[in-house]
Amino acid sequence: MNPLQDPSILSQTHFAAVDWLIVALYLSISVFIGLKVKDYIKDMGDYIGAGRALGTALGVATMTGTEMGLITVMYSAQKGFTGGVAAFHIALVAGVVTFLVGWSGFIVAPLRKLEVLTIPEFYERRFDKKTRVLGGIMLTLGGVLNMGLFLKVGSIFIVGVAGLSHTGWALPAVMVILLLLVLVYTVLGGMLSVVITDYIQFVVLSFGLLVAVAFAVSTLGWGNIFDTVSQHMGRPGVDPLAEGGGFGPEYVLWMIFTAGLVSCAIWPTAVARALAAESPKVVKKQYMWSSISFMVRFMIPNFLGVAAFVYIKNHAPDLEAAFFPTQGEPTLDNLYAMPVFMGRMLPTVVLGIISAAMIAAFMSTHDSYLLCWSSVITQDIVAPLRKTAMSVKGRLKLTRICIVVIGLYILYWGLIYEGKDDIWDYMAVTGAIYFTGSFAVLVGGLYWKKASSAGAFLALISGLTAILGLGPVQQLLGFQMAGARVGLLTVLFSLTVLVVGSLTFPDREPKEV
Amino acid sequence: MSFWIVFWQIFFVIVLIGFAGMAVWVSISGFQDIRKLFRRLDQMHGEKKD
Repeated sequence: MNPLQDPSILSQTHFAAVDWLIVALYLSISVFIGLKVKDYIKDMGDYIGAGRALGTALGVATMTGTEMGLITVMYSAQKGFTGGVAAFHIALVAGVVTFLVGWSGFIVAPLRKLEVLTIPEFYERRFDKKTRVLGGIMLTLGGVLNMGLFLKVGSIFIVGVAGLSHTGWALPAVMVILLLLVLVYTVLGGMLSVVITDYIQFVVLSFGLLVAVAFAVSTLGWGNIFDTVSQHMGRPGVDPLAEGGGFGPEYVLWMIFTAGLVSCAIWPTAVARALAAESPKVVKKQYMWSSISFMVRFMIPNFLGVAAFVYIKNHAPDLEAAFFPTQGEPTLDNLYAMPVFMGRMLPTVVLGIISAAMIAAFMSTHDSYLLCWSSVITQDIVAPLRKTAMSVKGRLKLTRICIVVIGLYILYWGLIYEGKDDIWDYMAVTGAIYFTGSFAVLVGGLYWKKASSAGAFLALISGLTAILGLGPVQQLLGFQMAGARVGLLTVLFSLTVLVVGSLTFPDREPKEV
Repeated sequence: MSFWIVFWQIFFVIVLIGFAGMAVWVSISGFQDIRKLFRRLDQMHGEKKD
């Protein structure tokens, strides 16, 4: 029998009833907090900016809580599983670039100084209203598409770790339950509940991941992990610059831009933390400290993915047959590798605590992202387009409606999308629709006096070319090019468009901020 | 190849130790920040009422 057809292939897990209890208890506490802090929401500043009163440590916790979500854990583990320890280069560049951004204050410090609530709000202050609205539309388009697979990937973790069947209704059922939980407390609590639950998640997940690493090393052996990778993957498994594996110099350059600069200084959910900080000085400190967690959020899951690979190769012939079948047979989705490995390696109770932390990580990312995109729709698209001013109550109501609509979309997208790209590469390409144009406009707007509204407008639109990096789109158009190359070309294109557009169509009355 | 293996091993251990230290600091100081945040929000809303 083909191991893939066997629904019990994932069932050899230590996940037991007590673990479900731990998970349920943890989630109940999270929802309770969401309800409790609702009373503190008095205006839009409280709802999406936590009153601009975050201290350094809480800023680091919430930034890490958001950016180290279950989706990050899953796609980074997938990268480790497919690319070996060479995937650590993503962690290295992410940490180094975040530290440099914190040290220099590049982009984030001047943005915080301007006291804007969102990036498109800056576009209006520096350029004009139409740039703000277009910026909001591009951000929402790229952002919502980017989080389209979050729900599915998070649910795969739960199905894998709990030993549910990978066929049938388990996956969609888990997706629906998780979505409902996230929607309830994001709609109720806004940024305040996000910050508090991010903090709790940071504490539980940080120590949980450290424990998981300790278990993986003691189970597999430190030296054996590296030996097995180099034996099965050869040089590309350890050297990120080697061609022939999943990486190479072009990919590393793309990572410096996406995992490094974009993740911390352009991506709105990360920038939202900078904008919610007490002062530009706190922003810089927060970024320098967060550089460690920006490294860890890739490195530890990379390592767990590598450990899953080693475990499957050395200890689990049934899983090896499912993940690495002989030619022609279907393969089990490699996203299942890390959770199945955790389910077989970790003891009961420890598994429950780590799963609860992972689900919390899932929720904290979702709430931040849902809040971010929906507040952009309200603040930067709908409100500026209306002839009459929107009331605070109206804005809160619309933001909450958008949260629910985006939630339903990610459920739908998770069920229908069938791209074969690694999740991280899918996210980099979809995110690039927004961040390539936004990078040009932010840098131009903050640091180049001649940047004009027309140049900014055109640069934002040029980011759309990034969609050519997606596998299904390339298939449709009948060409093939690595997503990294498409992304890098789009960055260059957007910068060129900004410069040429600004010089050709300068503003009559240039604005300065 | 052995250069990269040693490099990643050292990198991994250093970052892990750094993260463990940071996790302890953030856990303690973050809790104090939460208390400060709610005090400040109470204060701000009190001022708005006045």
